[in-house]
Amino acid sequence: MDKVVEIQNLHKVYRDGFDVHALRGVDLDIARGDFMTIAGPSGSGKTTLLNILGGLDRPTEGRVFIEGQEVTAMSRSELADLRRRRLGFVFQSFNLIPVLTARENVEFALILRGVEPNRRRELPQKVLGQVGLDECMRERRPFDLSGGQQQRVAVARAIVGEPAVVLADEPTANLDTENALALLDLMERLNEERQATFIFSTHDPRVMERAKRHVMLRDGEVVSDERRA
Amino acid sequence: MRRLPLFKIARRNVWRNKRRTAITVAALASAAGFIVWFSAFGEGFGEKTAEDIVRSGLGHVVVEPAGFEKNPQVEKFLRSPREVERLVEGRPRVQAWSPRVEMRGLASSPENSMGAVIYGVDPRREPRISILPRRLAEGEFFREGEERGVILGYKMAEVLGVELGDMVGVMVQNVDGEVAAEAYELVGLLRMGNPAFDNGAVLLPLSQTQHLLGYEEGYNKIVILAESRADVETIRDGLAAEVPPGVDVLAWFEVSPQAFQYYGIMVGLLIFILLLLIVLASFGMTNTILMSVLERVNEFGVMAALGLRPFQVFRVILYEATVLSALGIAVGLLGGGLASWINTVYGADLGAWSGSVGVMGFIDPVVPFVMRPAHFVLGAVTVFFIATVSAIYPGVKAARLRPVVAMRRV
Repeated sequence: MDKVVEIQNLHKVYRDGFDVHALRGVDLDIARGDFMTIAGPSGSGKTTLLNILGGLDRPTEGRVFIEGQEVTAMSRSELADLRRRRLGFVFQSFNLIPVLTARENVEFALILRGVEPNRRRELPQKVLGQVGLDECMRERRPFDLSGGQQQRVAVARAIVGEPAVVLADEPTANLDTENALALLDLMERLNEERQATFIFSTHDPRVMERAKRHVMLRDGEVVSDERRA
Repeated sequence: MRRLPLFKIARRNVWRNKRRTAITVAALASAAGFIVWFSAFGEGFGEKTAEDIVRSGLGHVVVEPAGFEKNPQVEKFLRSPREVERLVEGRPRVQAWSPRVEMRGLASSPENSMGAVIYGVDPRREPRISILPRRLAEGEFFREGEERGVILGYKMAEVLGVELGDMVGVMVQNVDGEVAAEAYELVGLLRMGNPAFDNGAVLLPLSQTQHLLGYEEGYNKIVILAESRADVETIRDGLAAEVPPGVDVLAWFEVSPQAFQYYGIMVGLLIFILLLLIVLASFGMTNTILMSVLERVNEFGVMAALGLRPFQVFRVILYEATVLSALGIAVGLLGGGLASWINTVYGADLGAWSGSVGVMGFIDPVVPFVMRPAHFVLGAVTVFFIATVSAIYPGVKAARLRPVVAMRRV
């Protein structure tokens, strides 16, 4: 297996007056091209796991490797580098930069990666076309776009730099069924075409139906890890 | 080449809350405008103070017996002034000169008497070096060849209870140590707006004071008006090297150091106001930027999550402050420049404070402002400094946000 993510004995304890064990010794290997969900009830630790995978949070114990590099040993600056070069994020509430247009939001991710200017001009148009955002919408700012359109832009921003891993935290939570299914179609296609690894934190059955692998967390522990045939 | 659109983000962020931006820009513009206006006022005030003191009879350079300034005794006078006059006459950069006698004495009327400074002036030369002849509230200045009469400060005349045509007694100690007194017809009332003159000046023709003091041809001062204040030191140093022993050559700021000190006072006041402005404006500006950062914690979290480094987040805040300061500077310099220009043309009437202004040597309470490019530079640099300093704390706060925490904030 071509491992893109390797998680070893991951613990996370939140100390806020009393200790809350969000993760209790999670071990997980994720292969390149996986299209998987991390599911579980509220408080099971799925968002915590995703945050640590994305270098947004640090574990109390354990190690995480992305493409062989130990994320858990990186400085803040190295983590910022990792996020812009290897990872793509899709957030539940879209989180686009409000003062940039749809195209500029996508281009921003490319600039962060140091992509050369010619490709920076071409790629956003191409990827926004792939996610199905009409040309007339591309020069609009997020507040002039619908929720579905904003999430398409967020996906375009996440994948435009061809990251090793796309981390999606409840990406369909704020979308109606039509938009949610269209978004899943899109991500599925990108997964197949580009061999991009998608990791969803979700309990949306629409997402779980499409995923090739399901990891179930409960009380910070992996209770099941199943692959769909 | 990678060039993040951080400035574009900052520029657009500034316009997201137009009302807040307008208020912030107005505050910064007020600061910049005030600095320009106040600097021009300070410069004009200093210039006017110095020039008024010089033109009220002090002159730019004074030649007098050694030690006279500190100890003006009657026996100290230029006994053979022709030699010094020859050095002054036709000298480069000297616009005009006039002999003068200055002595303490007593002025009296049948009703009253009071201490006075007696000025013996040359009716022909005095109008070229001072404005005394043009500042008569009543009567007229001494005519050449008709060297008679006395001119009093108008308030002194009130105290003495005399009017034009009345006789005024003037009493001094002469060069032989004897009391000398004469009565003169009051021919003019002096109104300078300066209490030193209005309350205590007695003007007599030079020949009369020479006679009264027993000086014959001598006198105790040559007052020189330079073509420009920039020439003062050249004239002073040149003359000092040539005058005979026992003669001092002094610049106006050595004779009247208080006039020179007004410059220092104005500069000190300007610095104090600038510092006060910086502190007050910085607090206000910091608060405004901090509010804007706190409203956008989520956005900064997202930027950091996408891979923006802490220093790059800091730069966004710094650029926002730069944009605000640029707008504030543009508006402020324009407004402050316009206000200063109006005061340059029409002056600022400080009549309401004329009492205190008079004490400081003003003759006319209207102060014309003096504008210089440096005032605009000072206004711009100060406001830019305020904005930059104010952005540091909010910028550091934004840069130190942990993305995972920041993104939870809505």
